[in-house]
Amino acid sequence: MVRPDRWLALATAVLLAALVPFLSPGSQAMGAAQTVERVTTGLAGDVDTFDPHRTRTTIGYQFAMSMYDRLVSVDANSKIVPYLATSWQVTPTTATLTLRNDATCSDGTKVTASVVAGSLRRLGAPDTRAPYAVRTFGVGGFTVAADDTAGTVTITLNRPFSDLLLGLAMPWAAIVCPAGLRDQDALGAKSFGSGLYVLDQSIRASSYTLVARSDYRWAPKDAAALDALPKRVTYRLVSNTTTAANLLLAGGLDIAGISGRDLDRVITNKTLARTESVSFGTDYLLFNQAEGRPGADRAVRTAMAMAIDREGYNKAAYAGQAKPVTNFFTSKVDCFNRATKDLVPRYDPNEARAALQRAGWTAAADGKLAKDGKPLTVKVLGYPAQNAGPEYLFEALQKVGVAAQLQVVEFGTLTTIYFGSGDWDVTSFPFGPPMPSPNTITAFVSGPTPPNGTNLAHIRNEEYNTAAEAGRTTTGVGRCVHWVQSQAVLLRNVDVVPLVARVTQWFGRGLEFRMFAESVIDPFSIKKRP
Amino acid sequence: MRGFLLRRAGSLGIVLAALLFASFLIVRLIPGDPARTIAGLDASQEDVQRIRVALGLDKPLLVQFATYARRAVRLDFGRSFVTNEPVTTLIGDRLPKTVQLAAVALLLVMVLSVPLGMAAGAFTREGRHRRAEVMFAAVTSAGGALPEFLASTFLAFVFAVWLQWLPVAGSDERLAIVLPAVAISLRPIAVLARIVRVETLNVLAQDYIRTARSKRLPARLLYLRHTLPNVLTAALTIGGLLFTGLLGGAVIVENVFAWPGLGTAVVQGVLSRDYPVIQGVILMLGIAVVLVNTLVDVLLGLVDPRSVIRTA
Repeated sequence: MVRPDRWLALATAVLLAALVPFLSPGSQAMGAAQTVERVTTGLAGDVDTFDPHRTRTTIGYQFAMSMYDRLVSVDANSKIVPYLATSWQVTPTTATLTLRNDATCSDGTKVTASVVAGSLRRLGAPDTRAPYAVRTFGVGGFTVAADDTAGTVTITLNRPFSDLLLGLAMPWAAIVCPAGLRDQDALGAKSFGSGLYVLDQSIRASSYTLVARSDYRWAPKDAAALDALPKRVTYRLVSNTTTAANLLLAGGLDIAGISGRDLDRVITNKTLARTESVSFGTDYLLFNQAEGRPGADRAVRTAMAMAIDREGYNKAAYAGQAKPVTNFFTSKVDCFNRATKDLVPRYDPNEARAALQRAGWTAAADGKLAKDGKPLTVKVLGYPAQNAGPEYLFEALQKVGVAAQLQVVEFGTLTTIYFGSGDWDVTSFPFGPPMPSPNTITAFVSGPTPPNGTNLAHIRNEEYNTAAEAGRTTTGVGRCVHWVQSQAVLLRNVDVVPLVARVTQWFGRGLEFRMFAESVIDPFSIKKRP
Repeated sequence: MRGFLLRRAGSLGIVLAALLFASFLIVRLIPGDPARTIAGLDASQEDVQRIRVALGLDKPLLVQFATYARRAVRLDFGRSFVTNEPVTTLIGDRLPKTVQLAAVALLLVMVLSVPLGMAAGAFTREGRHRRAEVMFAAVTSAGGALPEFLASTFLAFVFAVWLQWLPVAGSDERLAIVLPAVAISLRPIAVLARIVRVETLNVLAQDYIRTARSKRLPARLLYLRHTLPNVLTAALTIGGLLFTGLLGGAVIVENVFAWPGLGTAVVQGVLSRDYPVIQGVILMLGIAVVLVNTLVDVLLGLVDPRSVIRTA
C-alpha cells in the first residue's frame, strides 16, 4: 500500500512536470517572443532607388519602411497610430505633432524636431521631384516649423488638405537623417534613416541585406515585439514567379508573393502559411464619355454595366482569384463606403437589352442594336495582363446587342490610347492607388481630360466634384461624410462600375506577417508563427 | 593576307554601325511611352512631361540618335531611366556573369557533344546498327528542338524542387551554375553531336583511315590520333558560332534561374521601357557576337590558306 505522503509527492511531481514549460524563462506561454535570426524575401523586381522620397515603386517603399521611420503609421484596422510622433493635432491647414525624444539615426544623431522638419522640407521641395509629395502636402505648398525644446513640428499648408496626416504615414514621408540630406546623391544607394534596419549589403539587381539595429526602441504602436522581429532580412530579386515558387518550396525563400498558375502547388504545401493581400483600389469599368461616344449617354452606360457579371469577369481575368466588389475602393481605404451594393447596376443581360430598347435602340436584322440607323458600336480596350478579361467584356456586350470591337494591346500602348488618342469606349481600368485615401481617384474621374489631365473617361460629375472638394478640405468626422457621399454619386451616375479587387497571395515559411499595401510587407509584423 | 584582314576590319565596322542603328531603333519600336510607364498611371501630365524632358525623349529622333551614337562610341550608354545607375556600370557588373554562364555551357557542349557524336559515328558507320542511328537521330532532333525555357523549367522542377540536389536559382552557391548551364547547352549539344557524327562518318570513309585499319592500327590510336583532330576542326569552328548562340539563350535561361547576368537586365529593361539599358545590353551582346564571328573567320583564314573566307 502506498502511503498518503508518497501520493502527495507523486502528484506534486506530475504537477511540476506539467508546469515546467510555463515556468521556464523565455517560453512561448509566458509571452516572450521567439527570435527570427534571418529571413529571405523574394522581390518581384529591382528597387529603383533607396531614396525614400524619390522612389516610385512598391519595392522602394519596402526598403523605405524598413530603413526609415515616419511620424505616424497605419495599423491593420486602417487607423493612424503613433510612431515618431506620440500625439498630434490636425486642422484642415495645419498639423502639430509632438515627437518622442529617444529616437536616433543609425549614425547616432538624435531625431529632433529640426531633423524631422528638414526631412519634410526636402520631401516637398520641387527640386527633390518626389513623385508622391503632393499626396501628403496637397498642391498649394506648405511651411514647416520646428520647436526642439517642446519637441514639436508644425506643418502649415497654404491650401486645406485633409490627407495630411494619412500622407505622413505613407512610406514616402520617411524621415531622412541629416547625413542623408547633406549627401543626397548617396541617398539612392545607402540608408540614412532612424529605422529598425540599416542596409548592410547591396548587390545591385541580385540581393539586398538589411540588419536590425540593436538599439532600436521606437517602433510604431502596432508593431510586434521588437525582439521577435528578424535580425537580418535579405531581399532577393526573383522576377520570375515560377522561380519564386520553386525557391519557396525548396527553402531558398522564406517569404514570397505568388500568383498565376504556380499558386496551386504552393497553396497545397502545408509548411507555408498564406497571407492574402488586397489592393487599395480595384479593377473598374470605365466608359468613355467624350462627346459623340456611346458612353456619354447614362442609359447606355447603365445597360452596359448590367451586361457584365463581376464573377464572370473575375474568372476570365483572374481565374477566380480576385474578389468581386461593389465599390471602387476596398475596405482598407479611409472613409470606405460600405453601402454601395444597391448603387451598382445588377447583372441582368435581358434587362440590359430591354433598357437599351427603351432608350430608343432598336434591333436590326442581325440582332445588333441601332438608333437612327447608327449601330451601337463600342471599342473594348484591354491589355494582356488582364488575361481573358477583355474578351469576356467583348462577349458580354455582344450578347446584349452591342456591336463590340475588341482591342487588346500591350500596356505601354494602352496608356498611349488612354492619355493620347482616346479611341476607346469601354475598359477595365487597373486602379492602383499608392495610399488608402479616397482622394486618390479624383484625378481619374474629374478635372482636365487628356492630354492636359488624367480624366481619361471625360467624366463631368458636379456632385462628385463638390463632395470631393469638401472631403479634401474637411478634417474630423465630417471628412468621411463627404468622401462616402463622393463614392455614392460616382456609382449612382454609372461613371465608375467596380468589378474586382486584386488579391495577391503571399506565403511565409513558418512566419506570419501583415501587408501594409498590396505588395509591401510591414517590416514590423514579421515574426514566427505561434 | 593583309588585304584579307583589312577587308574583315572594314566589314566589321559596317556591321557595328548597323548594330548601333538597329539597337537604337529597336527600343523605339516597343509600343508605349517610357515616361508614362515610369511616372505611373496616376501621374499628372506635367509630371510625365517633366520625366520626358529629363530623359531627352522630347527631342527629335535624329537628335536622340546622334547623342546616343556619340556616347556609345565612348562606351557611355547613359544612365538607367529607372535606377539612374550608369548603364556601363550595370554591364560591367553583369557581363562577367553572362560570359561565365556561356563559357561553362560551351565547355559542356564541347566535352559532351564531340565524344557523343564520334561514338555515334563509329557505331553506325557504313550503315551498321540502323536502330541506334534512328534512335540517335530522334534524340538529337528532339534535343535540338527543345526550347531553352522548357528545358529550364523542367530541370529546375526535377533537380531543384523535387530532388533538391541543386540550387533553384541565384548565383550565390557554387553549384548554382549547373542547371542554367545545362539548360542552355542541351540544344547545342544535340546539334553539335549530329554534326560531329556526320563529320566522323566522312573521316572514317577516307582512304587514310582505311589504310590505317588495314595496318591493324589499334582502335584507340585510330580514333584519337587520326579521326579526332579532323573532326575537332569542324567542331571548334561551329563551337565559336555556338558560343554566340549561347549568349542569346542566356537571356531566357537567366530569367528562369534568376542568374544576375545581362539576360535578366534586358528583360527587366524591356518591362520598364528602360531604353538606355536595353540599348546598351543589346549593343554589348551584338558586339560580342560580331567579334566572335569575325575572330572565327580570321582564324579559319589563317589556319586554312585555301579557305574561301580569305577571298570572300
